[in-house]
Amino acid sequence: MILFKNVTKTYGEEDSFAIENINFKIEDGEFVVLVGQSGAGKSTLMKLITGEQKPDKGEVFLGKTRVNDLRYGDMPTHRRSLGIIFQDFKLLPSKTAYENIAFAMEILGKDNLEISRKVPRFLNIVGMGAKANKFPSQMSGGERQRIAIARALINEPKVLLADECTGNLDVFNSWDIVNLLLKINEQLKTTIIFATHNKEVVNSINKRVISLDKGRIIRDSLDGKYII
Amino acid sequence: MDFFISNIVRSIKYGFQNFGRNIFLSIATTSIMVLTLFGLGFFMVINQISSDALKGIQNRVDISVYLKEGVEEAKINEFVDFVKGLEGVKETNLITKEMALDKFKETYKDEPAILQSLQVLDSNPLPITLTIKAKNSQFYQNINDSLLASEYKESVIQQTDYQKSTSKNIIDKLNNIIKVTRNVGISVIVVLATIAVLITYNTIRLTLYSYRQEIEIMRLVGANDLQIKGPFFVEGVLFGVFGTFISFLILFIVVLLISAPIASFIDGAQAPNTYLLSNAFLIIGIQLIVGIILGVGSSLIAINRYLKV
Repeated sequence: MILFKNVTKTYGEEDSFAIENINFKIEDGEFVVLVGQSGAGKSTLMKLITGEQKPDKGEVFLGKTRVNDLRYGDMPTHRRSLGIIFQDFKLLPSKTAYENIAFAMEILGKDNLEISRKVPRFLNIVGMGAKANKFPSQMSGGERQRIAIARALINEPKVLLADECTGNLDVFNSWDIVNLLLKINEQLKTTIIFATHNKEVVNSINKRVISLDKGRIIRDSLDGKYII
Repeated sequence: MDFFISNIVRSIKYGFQNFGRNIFLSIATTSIMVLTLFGLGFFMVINQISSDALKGIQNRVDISVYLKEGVEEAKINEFVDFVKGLEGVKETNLITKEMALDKFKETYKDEPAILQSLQVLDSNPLPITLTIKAKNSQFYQNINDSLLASEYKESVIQQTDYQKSTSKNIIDKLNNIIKVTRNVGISVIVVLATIAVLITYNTIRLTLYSYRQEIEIMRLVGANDLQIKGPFFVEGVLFGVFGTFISFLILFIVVLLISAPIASFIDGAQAPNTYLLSNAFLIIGIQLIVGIILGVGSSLIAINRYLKV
């Protein structure tokens, strides 16, 4: 469960709201689409969940954890309970596809045997079994994003945050990634928050849509329509 | 405990892996390290050679005090004790008339004309001489002044060679050389230190640029400080270790090339290659410590800058 209660975040000047008085609740296993133009507050909202940003007012909960209260030393543990996918993939350039995914397990202290069993399985889930030894620079954008998804999923998080993860991809690859996210949500029951600009995708998948404008929620609907 | 050990093992593995995979950055950083450490090693060798050479010259400089004819032995002993008590006197050596004559004969044994001239004289014309060596060349002027101002000037001392002979000139020159060497040494240290600071600063910037994204990603994936810093720490150690051995190798080649000319030019100094080889462990040790501090320091400063994500 993710809960935002009267959350406000400003950058710089006090009246420059990134988000203002946000309230919503996302249940476990939900697939929620965040829509809004650039600067609407989608990324800030994601960062408040990951703990990269702290709210000026209000409370953010991830399950029973009050994210506001987390200190610097608590962040690694908090972030390990999340899977995060970024628009620019954020893969480690000096590691292969296999090593990028394995790294997320290593930081949890998993042993090599478990890693060598699990990573190939997740590479196959995202359709990248044949590219395990390729470096990010040797892969296309769509392939990199698949590796990023596998890395986000490898520790089987309850929540997956996908921040404009199709933003750098062509139409074909975007659909591919969205279908993969839907499959993950359906089969693994992972809660997914998917921030996007892509109106066509939003209107087709028929999921809950939260629309943001200038830092405020202007619509929160189950009708699956992209309206801002 | 297992988690901690596996983190350390993985840090070492990734440190080596990063070093190999970021090979151009590794070469660039190691090259900078080699330059700095070579400068440090070369300065150590040069400093030792110049110090040896100065000591050698200093050891050959002394003041000779020629004593008057007929001074009683007791008075001479009293005078010697007085000299030994002067500030800065390191050692004295009393050369009797007989010893002086023997030395004279030995020196001119191949020149019979000179030796024959001695036989013309009835008695040994060579005076009793007291040679004085100072602890430091700067003391000679004071020692000489004290001798000439003492009660022994009239009763014992015939003359000193400090004013007349070349001793004063040599000592003055030596003092100047020491002064200049010290000033040049300080200047070289200041220049080297400045270069080292600039190089380290640029290494940090280079490291920052390269690691910025990686650190951010590791942080967002949930890595803790040890897991992030570990591989960079190992990489920093590798920069220092490789830098040390390459710079020592270059230093060895350079010193080998300059050894013969320097040994013949500076009399009294240890040949540079002899000094380098007999102090190899010390020089490598110092270079290694400085190299690892620079390597690890620059890596960790770079990482800390981006850890607060």
